[in-house]
Amino acid sequence: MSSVPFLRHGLAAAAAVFLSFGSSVAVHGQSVTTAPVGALTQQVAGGTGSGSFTFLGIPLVRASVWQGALTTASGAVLNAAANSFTAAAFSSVPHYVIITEGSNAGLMVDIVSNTSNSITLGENIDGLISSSDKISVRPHSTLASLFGDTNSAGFFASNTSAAADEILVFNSTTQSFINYYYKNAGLGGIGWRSSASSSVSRANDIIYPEQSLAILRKQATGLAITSIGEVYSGAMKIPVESGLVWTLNTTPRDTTLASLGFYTGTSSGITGSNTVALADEVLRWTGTGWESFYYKTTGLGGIGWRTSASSSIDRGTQAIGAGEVLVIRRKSQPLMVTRPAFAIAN
Amino acid sequence: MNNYKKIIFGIAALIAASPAFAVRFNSGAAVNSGFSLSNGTDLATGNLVRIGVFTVSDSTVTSNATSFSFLNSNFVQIGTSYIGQGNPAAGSSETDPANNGLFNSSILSVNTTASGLNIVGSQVSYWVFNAVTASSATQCGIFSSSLSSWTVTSGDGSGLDLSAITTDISDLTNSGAGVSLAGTAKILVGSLGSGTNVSGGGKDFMLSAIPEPSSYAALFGVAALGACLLRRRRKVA
Repeated sequence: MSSVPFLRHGLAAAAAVFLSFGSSVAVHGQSVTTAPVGALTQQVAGGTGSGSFTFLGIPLVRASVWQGALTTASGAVLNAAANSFTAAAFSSVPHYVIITEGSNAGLMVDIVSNTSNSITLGENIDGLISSSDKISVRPHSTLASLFGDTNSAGFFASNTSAAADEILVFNSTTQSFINYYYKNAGLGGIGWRSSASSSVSRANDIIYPEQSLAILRKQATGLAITSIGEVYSGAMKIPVESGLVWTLNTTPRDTTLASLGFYTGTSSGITGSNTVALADEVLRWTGTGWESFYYKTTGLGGIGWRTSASSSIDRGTQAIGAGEVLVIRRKSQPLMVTRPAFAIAN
Repeated sequence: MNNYKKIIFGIAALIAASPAFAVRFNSGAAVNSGFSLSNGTDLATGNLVRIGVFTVSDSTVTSNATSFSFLNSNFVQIGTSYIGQGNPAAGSSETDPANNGLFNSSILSVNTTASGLNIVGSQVSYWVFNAVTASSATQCGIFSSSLSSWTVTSGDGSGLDLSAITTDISDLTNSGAGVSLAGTAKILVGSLGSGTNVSGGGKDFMLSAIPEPSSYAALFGVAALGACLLRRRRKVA
């Protein structure tokens, strides 16, 4: 048993402990390993008037419901041994596949449907997966799974988004925020809604493992948010669309800017340059503003992680807290960056 | 066979953000070109760089180049920097002469809207002095650009606004190479020199001589004294 020191941010008002364990079990000759599981409590700051933002990253995923080897993989269809799955189990609530072993380990793809021995994905991943790969199937985190079907998290609910606490999720494809809130009365019913419609339930809207949240709290009192989930220690591929991507340190441990895996020096990582104006940026909230980091590749001041405040001072060792929210500003075509696998200390 | 391992983690993973006007200004002479005195000598570390916008036309700025008080009263300052800030040349410190003529600056969370500096749509200017304070300077230069990247945008007043305005004096040169002047460059006071910055490698932007503010004060004092004497003569008469 060991402990990892608490991260302390200048403005962080959050602290939590979670107890977790992993297990390895032999089942019908196949080794099944469960990942560490834990609970995480984070503090959302109170706010008056138009409210106060708290940037929230949850570095936990929901438990795997199936893991193992494929028999074949073609296009968007993955096949496994007979009776591996319960038909339609992965589409009634959103699930995804993550490749756990293979040349593209960490790739995550949404599931559209499934039979007892096949899974149909939301996109064709020919060339990215092979029949010798192993996968894990997991339910997505959703508004309801993270914060309760009936808002057990305790966000301030109202009949309008203007009055209620809001959970903002950035859609990198549309480059815009979706504003969620819990509606507790009035026309349109009760439940999780977005500001786009007061009647359409958004309870099962997905919060992807690499997505961070901005909470706009409109009550003076703070709020403790407790999340429960698994620590996913394998590699994780993070899609980086052109423009802004609100993501997080997806590991439940402190790390450094250089260790995030965002810059690789190749086309598999974000773009570096001799100036922040041309390089992709990684933005981090300091408490007073967004500090901009970029990878400097040449020119005056040398090579390495820099900020716009100094082209020579190396910032590769900048501490990035567990689950800390980061925003990538991608200035060219989309790509996938890979968060490296990490070891969990015993 | 079960093989349980118990692990304890500690986590604090979020940051509270009060609503803030979030335009970030990245400024610099840190890519190729730098600044120099009117004789071509790289501007020494510690000298003042004011970053802001002028509220009068470019031609008015230029025609009042020697009137510090006029320019100052028509200048909205976003922030200040100084030559050497950010140690752009990777010297032993910011005051290392390797940083002469160069600087990095990052000013966070500037409220550019009407409730703040009210400078949305204006163009950023660098007002550079050959002294630590403007009042003690004998030379200055004013440099800007018509590039859209030098135009001030609006912050929306929230922590969700990630706007940034990133400028560098090398933007005033073709391809930012620091060699020849770009068509979008605006040198309101000063010039592009023929020499190069020792560390940056591009041509320096040169300052121009200005009357010392103390000279203005002396002149103003003489004029005031004259007026006073005139009034006394009239009174006596």
